[in-house]
Order: sequence, then structure tokens, then C-alpha cells
Amino acid sequence: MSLLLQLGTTGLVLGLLYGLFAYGLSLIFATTGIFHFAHGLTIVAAAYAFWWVAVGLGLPVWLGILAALLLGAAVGAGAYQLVYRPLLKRKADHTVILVASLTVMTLGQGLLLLIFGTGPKAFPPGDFSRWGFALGPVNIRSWDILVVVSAGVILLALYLLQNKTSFGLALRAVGDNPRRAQTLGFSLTRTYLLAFVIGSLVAAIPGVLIAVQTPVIATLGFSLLLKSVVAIIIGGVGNLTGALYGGLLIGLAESISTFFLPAVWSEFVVFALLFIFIVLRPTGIRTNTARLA
Amino acid sequence: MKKPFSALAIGAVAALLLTSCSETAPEQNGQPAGEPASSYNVGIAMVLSGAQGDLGKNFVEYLTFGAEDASEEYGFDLNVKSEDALGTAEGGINALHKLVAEGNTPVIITAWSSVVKAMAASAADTGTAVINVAANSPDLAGASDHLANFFPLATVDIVALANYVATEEDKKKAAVLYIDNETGKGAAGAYTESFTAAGGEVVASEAIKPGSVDVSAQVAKVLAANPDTVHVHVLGESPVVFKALDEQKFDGLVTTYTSSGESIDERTASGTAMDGVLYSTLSSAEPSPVIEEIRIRYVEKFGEEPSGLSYAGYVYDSAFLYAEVIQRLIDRGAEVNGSNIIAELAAGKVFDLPVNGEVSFNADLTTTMPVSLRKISSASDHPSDDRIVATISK
Repeated sequence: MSLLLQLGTTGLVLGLLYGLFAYGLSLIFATTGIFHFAHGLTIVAAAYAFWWVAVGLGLPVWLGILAALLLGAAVGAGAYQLVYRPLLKRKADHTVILVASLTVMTLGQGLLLLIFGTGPKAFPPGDFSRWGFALGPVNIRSWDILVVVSAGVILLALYLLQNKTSFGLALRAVGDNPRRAQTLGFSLTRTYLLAFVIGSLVAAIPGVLIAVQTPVIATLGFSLLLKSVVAIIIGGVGNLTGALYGGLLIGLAESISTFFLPAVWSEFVVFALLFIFIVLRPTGIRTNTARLA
Repeated sequence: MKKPFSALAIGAVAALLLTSCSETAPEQNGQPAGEPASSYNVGIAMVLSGAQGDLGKNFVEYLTFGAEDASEEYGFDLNVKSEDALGTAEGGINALHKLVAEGNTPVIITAWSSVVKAMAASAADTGTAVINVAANSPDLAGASDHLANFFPLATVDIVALANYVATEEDKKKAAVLYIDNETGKGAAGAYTESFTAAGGEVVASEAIKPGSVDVSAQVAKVLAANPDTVHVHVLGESPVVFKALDEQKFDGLVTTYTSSGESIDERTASGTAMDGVLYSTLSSAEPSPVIEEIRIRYVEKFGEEPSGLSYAGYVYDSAFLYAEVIQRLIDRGAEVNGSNIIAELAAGKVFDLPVNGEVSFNADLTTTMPVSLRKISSASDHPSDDRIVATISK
């Protein structure tokens, strides 16, 4: 029983990471209609930026976090301005945009490999990483607390942004009906750019969290991207809270399944879960009545 | 306009047919049969990208050093041609075909069990000799009659380690965490068999997917079985595993093998989580002056410490092994091609090599070497400073 509880805790924490990553991707999709596959590049670039500043240059950790946020936002904004916006202007087909996104991801990965090399980049473990406590039969690590607190802060900030600011109003309006929003004076270009920046900032934080825990390699982004896509489909395409729930669900499924099956089957379980949702509830956990629900 | 085009097409097809049907020119393998040449090509197919890319690049350098030194000793040049095997079976096969077709290499030095296995299957078809210098999956023994396993398979060092842990460290319950590929599965199997044979019990065994971000679930599961020792047999994922064991407060004996134990990148990434780890190594218990020279040469060339020094001796020596085989073939007027190279290795004769000394291949084209067990006092130390706790002879 204690093992099951431990696995459940691990699954929740992992699920929060997946959920955050999926949330960012879903925000971009819900606002712009673009499935931004290069989102995987954002998380890796942010992780590398954090490592380079905090470890490579030996600067304070908060500077590393700032660098990660800046680079993450730059990747998202750059992808929109340099790739998607020109394609949208030329009324390119969605397939073309999808392929362009995958190309950006692949090229970006190659660039990171060229700059940082093939060796893994690790944040050296310290006293903080070894700190933890037992909550009944469950062992809580410092990293678990870091993830939960970060996720809480980000989600609160996003809630306030979307519901209490004019930026949030623009995101919701454009996501709901771009043409009507435009007639009401909302700039599509600025709103799309905003969506990419915010969505990428939301992905950059998981990048930092992963860099703290795991050696960073350039190909890290793709497997996380795949899981976030699964999370989005399970949660409901275009639904932000659904993406979060989807992430939590796959984190839990991946972790708890190891109690019953060899760990090597965990990925199979995730995709089996996806298949079940596609067949039985294709609209996802939260049916998307509006693009930004 | 169609007639000239169809004539052109027929001509092109005929030309293609003629060239493909012609016998393989002796020059494909570097020189006319029986006549010594001034240079011979040696191929090397390693993982040159991804998490293990740095290790692969180190191997290419070790072979390059060996080729330079062997060239000086034997009087003919050894030209190193490298390809990225990508760490996958497909990558290995592509690398083999490229090296054979474009590099004209009758021998290919390689590593990574899945790569070696895949290349071995194609080696006979292309008449290429494949020499394994770092992969240790027991499956590789006899995998092909064109594959020579210069590096001792897991049946040597992992078996010795498991036996030592059960008998000398008096551990009764072991758990195994292994990478989910040929290398990991083979080693996990060898460890389990040996530990059980020595009177212990393997209470849990979990695979870890390559590139895993988090392995706390697998670690929690194996620790739930209350082992008193955990063997970790992964590749670039070892920092994640050691950290997870440390975070979950495992205080038993952690063991691993040379690839993790002697990797400076992985030791740095693991930090204090790797302190106290016991690992097996096939490098000599006595510091080798040749290895030290290789290390110095590497540092002078690249300004940083090399990784995988335990493998350096095998990679470096493979150049001398090849050079000696070439000399023996020349002496008896035979062509330097893959099949003859393998036949020379399989003949059971002794080769006197700079690092490994006198080596001969077993009937199944494997070797048996002494094993050292080292303990990491501090992961920040250089691997050569790790304390030797046992040496197990051939």
C-alpha cells in the first residue's frame, strides 16, 4: 500500500509537469489555432539556458531562471514572427504550418546540439536536492515541493491574467471568435504573439524544473511534447484546464501502472488510455464548447 | 524526341547493369591481393550524437591515436574512417554499408550492443570483419562468424561483480535497474544468474527507458522489495538513477559497471549521489602508462579530460590488433579482407598488444580478461583515483 501511495505521489508531481507543459501548448492552440509542435524546443532551450547561466557561467540561480524565461519566450515569439505569421499571411494550409512547426523543432534541436554538444548537462546535486521528509508512508522530495509550488504559482498567475487583465480578455476573445474580436478592435497579430509568449513562458518553468532534476540533452523535448499532445487530447483539445487534467491523468497512469506491471509498460499504458478516450470520449475530459473554456 | 531519350535510358541501364555485375575489384579492400600496400583503411562506427555522443567521439580519438602509433610501428598507414551509428540497429547497418562502400574498410571497429548485433548480421554479407571494443551483451557471443568480441562480454565483469557482492560483501537480496535495450537486458540476465548462483536472490528487476526524465517510480518499486544491494546498468541515465536512489534514502550497496563508473560526465552529473558506488572495470588494476599517455594526449588536443578510459585500452589496441593481422596476412601472401582478418583472429594465436598485453581469442571469437572492482570515494575524484577493492583474474 505504501508503494502505491508513493507511486501516486510521484505520478501527481510528474503529472503537474506534463500538465503545465500541455497547458502552454493548449493556450497557444486555443488562441491561434496553431498546433505548435516546436513547443518541445521551448522546454529544452529553457533547460539549456538555465544550465548555461546557473552552472556553465556559475551565476546565481535566479539569473538562470530569468535566462530560461527569456529564451523560452524568445523561442515562442520567434517561431510566430518568423515562421507562422508569414505562413498565415500567405493563407498556408494547416498541414504546411504543422510541417513548418516540426521543422523548427528539428532545426532547433540541431542548433542546440551544435552549441552545447552531445554530452548531458546536469545541475549538480546539493544539500537542497537531498532534503526531504516523510509524510506517513510517502517520501516527499524537495523537488516534489518545488514542482507543486511552481505549478500553483503559475496556475494562479494564469488565472489572474486570463480573468482579470485586458490581455486575458484579448486571449479569450480572439480564441473564441477571431473575426468578431478583430471587429471589436483586438489586434490578431498582437494577441497571437501574446499567446505564444505566455504559452512559452509556461513551458519554460517545467524546463527549469527538469534541468534541476535530470541531465539535459537536446532530444528531451520530443518525448515531453508527445506526452503533452496526449494530455491535450485526453483533456479536450483547446481546453486549458482539460490539458492540465490530462497531464495529471497521464502522470498518474504512467506511475501507478508500474505497481501492477513492469515499468517498461508504462508508456503503453499511457497510449492505451489515449486510445480509450479517442474511442469512448473523443472530445476529452472537458468538452470544448468554446476555444478558450 | 522520344527516341534519343529512350536510347539514353537504355544506355544508362546497361551501364548500371555492367558495373553492378562486375566482380568486386580487389582495390575495394584497399590493395591488390597478396601485395602489401602503403595504407589500409579502418572503419569505426560509434554513437557520435545524442547523450552518448561524447563517449563515441572519445572512442574515435582513441582509435586515431592507436592508428597513428601502429602506423609508425608497422610501416604502413592506417586511415581511420568514421561514421555515426546513432546507437540504433538501423544506424549501425547504415554505417557499415557506408564504410564498406565509400570508406573501403575491410574491418569496422564498433560498440553499443544493439549496433554490434545489427552490424554482425550484415558483416558476413559484405565480407567485413566487425570488431567489438566496448559492448558487453552476452548475446554477442557467436552472433556472427564475422564478429570478433575483443571487449569481454558481461559474462566476464558483471558475473564477477555479482559473485563478489554475494560472497565478499555478503549481500543476500539484490535489485537490478537496467537500460531497456540489448546491453541492459544482457547484463541484467548475467547479474541475476551469477548472484543467484552465489547464493543470493534477485528480489526486483526493472527496466528504464533510454532518455528517461524521471525514474522515481522504478526506484520506488525495486526498493519496496527491500534489497540490500542495487545494481544499476544504464547508459547516460545513471545520474537520474543514482539521484533517485539517494533521494529515496537507499543506504545499501549500489553497484554499477565501467561505463557509468568511469564516465566523468556522469560522475559530475550524479555528484554525491554516486559516492560509495562499487563498479566493475576491465581496465588493469595497475595503472597503464599507455592509457596515461592516451589521456595526456587527449587533454593536450582537446583541453579536457577524456571519458571512458576503461575502454580506451581496447579501442587503442584494436588498431594494433588490425595492424598485426595485416602484417601476418602480408607475410603469408593473403589478401587483406574481412574474411581473412576474422580467420586470423579465430586461429587462436596470441597477439601482444600495448595495453592488454598478450591476448588471444576463444573459439567463439570472445576474450577473457581480468576484472577489477573499484569503489568511488568521491564522484568528484578522477576515476583513476578510485580505490581498487578486488581484482579477479582471467
